[in-house]
This record gives sequence, C-alpha cells and structure tokens, in this order.
Amino acid sequence: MVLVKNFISALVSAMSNYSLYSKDHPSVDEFGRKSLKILENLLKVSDKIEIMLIEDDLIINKTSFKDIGLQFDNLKKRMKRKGLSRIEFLPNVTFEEIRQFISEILEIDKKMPGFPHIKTGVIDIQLSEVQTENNFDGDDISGFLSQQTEIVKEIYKNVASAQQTSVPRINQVMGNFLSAFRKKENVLKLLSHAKSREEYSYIHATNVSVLSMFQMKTLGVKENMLLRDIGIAGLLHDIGKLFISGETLGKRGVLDEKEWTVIKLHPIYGARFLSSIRGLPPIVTIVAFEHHLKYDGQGYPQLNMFKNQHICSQVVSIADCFDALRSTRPYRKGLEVREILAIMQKDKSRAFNPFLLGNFIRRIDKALDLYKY
Amino acid sequence: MNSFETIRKMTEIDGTILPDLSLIEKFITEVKVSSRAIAVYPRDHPAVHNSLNRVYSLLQEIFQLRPGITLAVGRETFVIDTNPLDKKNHIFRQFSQHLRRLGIAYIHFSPGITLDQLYNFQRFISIHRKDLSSEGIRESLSQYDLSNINIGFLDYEAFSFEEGKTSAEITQENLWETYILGIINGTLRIEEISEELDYIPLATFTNLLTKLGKHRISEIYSKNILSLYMKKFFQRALTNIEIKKLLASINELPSDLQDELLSTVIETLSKDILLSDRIFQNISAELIIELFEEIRSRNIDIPENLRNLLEGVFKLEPQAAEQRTVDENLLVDDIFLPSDMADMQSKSDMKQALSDSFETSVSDEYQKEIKHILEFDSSEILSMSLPDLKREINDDFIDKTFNHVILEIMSSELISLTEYRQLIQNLKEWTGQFMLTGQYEQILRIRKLLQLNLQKNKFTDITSETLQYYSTSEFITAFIDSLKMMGRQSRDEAWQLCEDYGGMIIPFLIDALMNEETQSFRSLLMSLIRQYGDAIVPEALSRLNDSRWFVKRNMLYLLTGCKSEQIIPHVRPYCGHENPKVSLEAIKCLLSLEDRFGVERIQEYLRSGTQAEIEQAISLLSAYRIKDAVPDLVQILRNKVINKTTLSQKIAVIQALGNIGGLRSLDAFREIIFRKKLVFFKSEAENLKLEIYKTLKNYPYKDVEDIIETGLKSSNEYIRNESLRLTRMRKQ
Repeated sequence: MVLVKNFISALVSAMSNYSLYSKDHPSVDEFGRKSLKILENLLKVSDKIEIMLIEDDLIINKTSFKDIGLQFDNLKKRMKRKGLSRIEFLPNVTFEEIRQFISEILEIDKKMPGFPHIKTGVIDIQLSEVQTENNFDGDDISGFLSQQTEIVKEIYKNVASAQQTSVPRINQVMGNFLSAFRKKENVLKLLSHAKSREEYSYIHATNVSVLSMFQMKTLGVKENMLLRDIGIAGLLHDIGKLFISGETLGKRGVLDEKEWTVIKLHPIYGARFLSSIRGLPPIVTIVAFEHHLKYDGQGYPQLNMFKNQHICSQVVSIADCFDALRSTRPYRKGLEVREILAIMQKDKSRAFNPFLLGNFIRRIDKALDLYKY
Repeated sequence: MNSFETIRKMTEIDGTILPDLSLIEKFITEVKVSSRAIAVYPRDHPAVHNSLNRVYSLLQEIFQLRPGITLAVGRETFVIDTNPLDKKNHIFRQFSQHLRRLGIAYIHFSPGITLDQLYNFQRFISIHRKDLSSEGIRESLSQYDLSNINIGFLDYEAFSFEEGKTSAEITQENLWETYILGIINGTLRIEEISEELDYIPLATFTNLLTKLGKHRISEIYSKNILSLYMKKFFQRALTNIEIKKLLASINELPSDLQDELLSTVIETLSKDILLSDRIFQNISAELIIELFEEIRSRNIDIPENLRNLLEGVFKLEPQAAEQRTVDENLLVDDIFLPSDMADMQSKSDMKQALSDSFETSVSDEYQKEIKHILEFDSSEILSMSLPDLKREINDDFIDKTFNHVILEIMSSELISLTEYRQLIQNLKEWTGQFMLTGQYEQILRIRKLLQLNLQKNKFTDITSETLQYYSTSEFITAFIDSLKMMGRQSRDEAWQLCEDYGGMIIPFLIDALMNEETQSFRSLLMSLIRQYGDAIVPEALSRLNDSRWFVKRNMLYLLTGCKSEQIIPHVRPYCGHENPKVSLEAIKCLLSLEDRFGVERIQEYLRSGTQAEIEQAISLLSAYRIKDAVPDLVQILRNKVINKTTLSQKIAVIQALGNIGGLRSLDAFREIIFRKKLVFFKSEAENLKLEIYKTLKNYPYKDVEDIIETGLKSSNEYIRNESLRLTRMRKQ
C-alpha cells in the first residue's frame, strides 16, 4: 500500500513538473527514476501493476484507493483527460518507457502510442444492454432539454436541502450535453427558455453551461474532459445563491446596500461549498468564486489577496451575462440576441475579455445567420 | 393472454418483487444506525442490544415476504433486484460508498441468521482497517462467523481491458450499474409484460392500480407499470372520448394514486413531445385545458418542453413589475449593469423587444462597432491565437488558481470554524504537492494568509497551530529536501519563502550545507544563506570549530558576505590554518572587511609563498582592490623574467594593478612599454604591453597620455585601436 502510494506520488510529480516546467527539467527524470525504482520493487511481488479507473474510483491491483490524496486525484484527472481507464506496468519496464509514457499522457490531443511494458487502454464490461438515460437523439431538442433541466433541478434541490451534491449526476448532464453538441452544431437551439420564476435558476444554469462549453469549443478546446469541466462550472456557477434567503434574492425594486451586500456574497458561498465536494474539478470552485469579477479587476467579491480572473471565469461570465439578458423574467422580457451582443460589446474591456467577447459575438452571429434562429 | 391472466401475472410479480420496499429501506437505515452503536459500545451494552434487535426484527419481517434479501451496492445507493433505492437518501449513499470502498458488490441475508451473526457482520464492516487490499478484506472476513450472510466482492476481472483504445471510442458511462446489475441474478424484465398492457382497458387498469395500492406496491414498481401503461395508452389513436375517460378514471382513484397517475401522464407526454403534439392536435383545447388544470391544481411541475407546446393554451406572459436596481443602476439577475449599458437595456421595453429589429433598437454607433467585429474572418480564430488559454487551462495552473481561491475564502468573514479547519487540512495536502513541484510561492502565500488571519484574530488557535506546523523541523526539513531537487529552477521563489521564515530557518540551511555532498546544491544553499547577510553570523561562527575542514571553509565563505566587524577576531586564527583552502577563505573574509591582518597575510604569500599561493594572492588583491599591496605587486612586475611562468604571473599582476588603479603602478608599466629590447620571450613581452593597454581605461587620461600616444604608433592593431579609442573618448 505504501509502496503503491509512493509510486503514484513519484510518477505524478514527474508529470506535474514536466507540465509546469519542461521535459528537460531535472526533476522530471529524477521523479521518473524514483517511480521506476519503486515500480521495480512492486513488480518483484506482483506480475504487473494494474491501474483501473472505474468511473471515479481508482483501483490499483484490485484494491480501491478512494479519497486518498491529491496525487491520486491528479492521476485520475490525467487519465480522464487522456481518455484512459486502464494502465498496466509490466516487468522489465525501462526508464525510457516511463519517460515516454509521462510525456505522452500529457499530450491531450494525441493518441497514446504502444509501449512494450506499459499497456494503456480502457475498460469495458460485457454484460447486458444498459439503458442510458437522457441521451439526445438529435431531433427532440425540447424533450432532451426538459430532461436535463429536471436533473439540474434535482442537483440544485439536493444542495438546498442537504448541502450535498452528486458528482456522477452532474457528470451525466454534462455527458448528455457533450453528446448533443456532437449532433447539433447550433448552440442556440440548445438553450432553453424559463417559463416561471422557480424554473429560472435551473434553466439559466443549464444555459450558461451550454454557452460556456460552446465558447471553449470555438476557442479550439477539443478535449472532452475539459469541456465537461467548464460545463460543470457553468452549471454550478450560481450555486451560492442557494445559501442566500429567497426573500433577498427575489426582491424587486430598489435594493438597499445591505441587501446588495448579501447578494454579492453568493460567489463566496458557492466556492466555499463547492470546494468541499470531493470529485469536482477545481475549476468549478474557481468559476463560482470569480464569475462576477470583471476583466478590469472590478466586480465582486472584493479580493483580499489576488487580482486576476481566470480565463474560464471570463468565459462563464460572458455566458452568464448573455443568458441573463436573453431570459424573460417576471419584470422584463428577454432581449433579442443581437441587441444583447451590442450591450455586451459596449462593456468590452471593462467587464469582459475583449478577445473572448469578440469570439463569442462572431460565433453567435454565425449561428443566427446559419440557422435563422 | 387475457386481462385476468395479466392481472394474475402482475400479482405474482407483486408478491415476489418489491412489496417490501419500505421495510428494506428501514432495514438498511437501521443497519447503518446500529453500526454506529456497535462501533462505540461493547457487545453487552443496551444500545447495541436494542439496535441489533431492531435490525433482526426488520429482517424477519422481510423474510416473511421473500426468501432472502440481496443488497447490491450501486454507485450512490443500493439496488434491490433491479430497482435502485432513492439516490437522494444520504444514509444509502454513505453506506453504499462505504461498502464499495471495502470492495463489496452485494450482501445477501438469508433466513436462519442470528443476532451474533448480525453483530459480527457489523463488526466486519465497521472496524477501522489499514489494509484495504481485497486480499486483506477477504482474509478479515474469514475471521467472522457469518453463515447466513453471504458477502460478494467486486470482481475486477469482469472489467475487460480494451488495449490501445480511449474513452472517446468506448462509452464509459454507467459501468458500475452495468456491473452491479450483471451480477444479480433473477432480474425483472418489465418489458416482457408491456405488450400485454395494450389489451387492458383503462377502467380495468385503474381498478388494478387501486388493488395494488392496497397491497402497498412499491413506488418504483408501480411507477414502472404506470409509465408503461400510459405510454401504450397515448400511443393509441386517442379521441376526446378517451381523454374524458381518462379524466373520469383518474377521479375514481384514491388521492395518492391520482397524483401518481397525473405525474406519469406529464412524464409520458414530455418524453415524446412529437407524440404529444399529435395528441393535442386531435383533441379539443377545452379537454387539454381541463387535463392540465387538474395537473396544475395538484402542483405537479410541467416540464419546459410541454410548456412550450402548450404556450397557445397557457399564457405565461411576464408580469409588469418594477425593475431591480441598486443606487439607480440596473441589476439583471445578479449582474450589475453600469448606467450606460442600462440605458441601452432600458430602451427595450417588452413590446419593443418583441417587434424591433437590431437596426432600430441599437444606435448607429454600436451597429457600426458590431458590424466591424462581424467582418472579422472567424476562420482566423485558432486556439493558439489566445496563448493565455493554453496556459490557463493547464491542470497545474488551475490547481494554483484553486489554491488562490481557497486562500481568498479563508480570508473572508463567512467561514465557520469547521470549514476553516477542513480547508486548513486541504491546504496542508496541497502544500505537499507544491513542495514536490517547487511551487514555493504558493506555500509563501499560504503562510501570508495565515499570518494575516492571525493578525485579525481569526480562529486564533487553529491559525497559530497551523503556522507552527509550517515552522516545524519536519516541515523545514521537507522544504530543504525539496530544494535539492527543485530549488535551482525556482531560486527566486525559494528565497522569498526563506526570507519569510527569517532567521529561524538559517540553522536548518546551514546544517544542510554542512552535510551536503552535491556541489550544485551546496552552491544553491550558500547563495540562499548569504542573502541573509549578518543574520547568519552567530550560526556560522558557532560551526567554525567543526572538525571537518570543508565545514570551516564553507562557514568562512558564508562570513565573507557579512559586514559585521565582530567576526574579525574569530576569523583571524584561520588565516594560518594548515589547509590552504581554509586559510585562503579566512583571508578573503578579512579582506572583505578591509582588515589589516588579512592584507599582511596576503603580502606574506606574495613574498614567500609557493607559486600557487602567489597566484591566489594576486587574484585576491585584484578582487578586493587592496591598494596597500601595490608596491608588492610592482616589485613582482620588476622582477627579472626567468621563465614563461613568471611572465604569465606578470600578466596577472598587470591585471591586478589595473583593477586596483593605483598611480604607483604606472612607472612600472612605462618601463615595459618603453623598453627597447627584450632579450627573451619576445612574443610574451608583447602580451604584457597588450595587457597594460587593456588597463589604461582605469586611469585618468592625463596620467597615461604618453603611454597612449606611443600606442597610437604601435604595430599591434589592438594597442593602436585602444589608444585611438581612449584619445577620442577624452576629446568627447
């Protein structure tokens, strides 16, 4: 057990240093050699070291390693990003192979090559047919959206009632949207309209999620895991509102300073809650905290130590504003898309990253033209 | 099969499947609850006794309804037969996760079970174990008598290996569920009876529902039957009459089943929106309104797609209400719109937004701006055109930002002690990661946050305890170990963290230096330590009497950077150390403090040292620009050339004199420049002249004018050019 932990720790440290610095950083080789040394010891008592990722569980030589630490989370993350769910290290593995393996696992868009003593791939289970819920068949958009919104509602209600959230359920919604993306290019068709005040939060969350994934895709992000992460971030960006009284949140008319101060706390509440959920990608917490910060450093919450807004938060911030202006609310009819774009453009460089906003406007405009939304 | 047979079949199923759902749920809850009691109290404690009895009784009740019960461990809950229990139930979730961690796939309880077995089972699943390997857990199981409890472990062999493939090629969804369902035998296939449901009239079906309701048919099972029936029902070519019958039949049902049926109606219609569209086209609007009013009156949610479809029937128009504002600025949802944006937004009232086009609602200026943007060729957008994106979506960068957010949260006023404690725990874990990756700046930020919180008296106990943790010898040692691998590349960050630690880390760094064998790490440590300046004096002096010569040498090297004269008496004795590396280091240290003793010692070297000592002495005099040594150096320059070695020594002397810049050396220079004949080593003598010209820039022009003028006529190109350059410089 200890040897396995040390092996993973050394291997992941080599990966991190490769990614943070360069392949030539001495620590990459040093940690690589360390991991090989431990691996050789492990392979003296076992004919192979078999790492399986079954959904979110890491199983090493048939033993489950759950909630065991950051290094294991890190390995899971890297396996998911690469689309791997099984790695096998066999006897006689060489340092060169380890080195090459470290380099290849970090190349997200490249297919993993074969190694003589390191086998990589996925696991599958050959049992009865599985019913997959909520898959998008390409035609019934409305039904599909409705089903997703129901799951989002369930996720939000779970947080509100028990302050818990189900990561697999969230992943399910994201998986469904990613699959829908593959079949439907016009993102505007995947946006829902809220019909009631109660529904607004869930619909808005879903829309922000879709629009955020859409933006990342148009920026050249191909990797599903990353798109999924940003989608989750969009879905949960406003989760902190569940920790604020409905009376304050729903108040119309003039908000006094105290009420506005309370509303401005929701990013902190959200990030605080999300950071406590094991299994959620860290970007989700970051976005919940930063989505009301502005590109020029203004906005809320007030920062004590840091100033810069992460690019994923900038993406979600654009999606958030767009959908808020687009949605019909009890006190306001939603605006036309081009009108919203004009309003957002007016605030470029102040509220939004001009490059991201430019990209968003062009892509949305293209969707409008092509699909006559 | 006729309807009676169908009913019989369903009743049979009813008897074997889940009539006992609530019992099973209670049983699982009680098992979980009793595990707590068993973990805390001894076997004979009343709490344990009562708790076990409750579990036992529930189990006996279940056995009256089924011959045994298998709890299959799903991803977030338990699966009974093929039915997952409520995923929102925290007890099920926590308990199933705990069992999964133990590698348990299912547990089967069979009649004949005793209280002792139940107790053993609880002990087995609740004892704290370090060995979580499957072998370890199986071995542990064999120590318990569990004759009537069969525990099935996950068999990872069932997961086949698709080598060379990625998840993009093979779906990875629901692997657990597939697996769990696959290992449970006797699964119910509801689809098999679905065709038979076609033939059951609505009235018969609702009667059946009422009967099954009395038998407390499980909610999940009845829902499955209802869904299947309603799906078949709506697939028929419905007329107004059928819908009227449906409404009438619903009214005949008990209230809870009415809700259930109407919910199923909604669910069925929303799942197939095309079918619903067809139905709504074939039946009267009044009936649709009646049906949906019935639904609305029971507060059943209508999914959004159905709402869209029914928009013609139900008007969900926005109501007129006040805009939401703060300080006269508009708030859209929680987004603050500055007044200029709000002006644009407010122009668009409801009707305007519906009817106006882009061109009419937006000013010319913004139309132009938007059009300008749109003219940009979108194909030019490449992922590489935003380098920040690639950098920021890197996992390690995200982790770093996450750490920043956590620190911000910890500095906020909203956090409870429990949360703070948890975050502190997380930070410690992250710190380990930062150590391994040389991200010392992140550790520094953590320390700064803790220091800030301590100043604000925030959770003083835990904050100060954690700050102490970051200063323990174990932590500092781990930091220094990390420096060995990562420090050279993160030198600045390493120093910033060292600086934050202040003097307390100096002994650790010096100890590490004393015992370090790697030259490169020693040099890093020395450069870090020397940055502390005089703060290192006590620690370095205390180690001067170490028996190892290299420790003495290293300490003297460190002291060389100090300005305090109090070290002089401690260093002087080492000028005569038997090991020349030590003595030379001591002399350097004294020279850096301009101590006369050091100068005298070096002059001794010049006069009577070995060749190597003389060379080192020349080099030191040059480096420390010791003017008092100029006569000695001039003397060497004037000595007769004996061989090539003495000639090259003279070159070093010229360089040293030039560096010191004393006028007393110029006469000796002139002797070389103006000497007519050199008997021996002509080319080497030319080199001496060349070296002299290289040093002339260190002297005032007027003092070396004659030498420069001679240089202008030299046959040596460098000397000529250098002389010309110095002449021009003077004119400028």
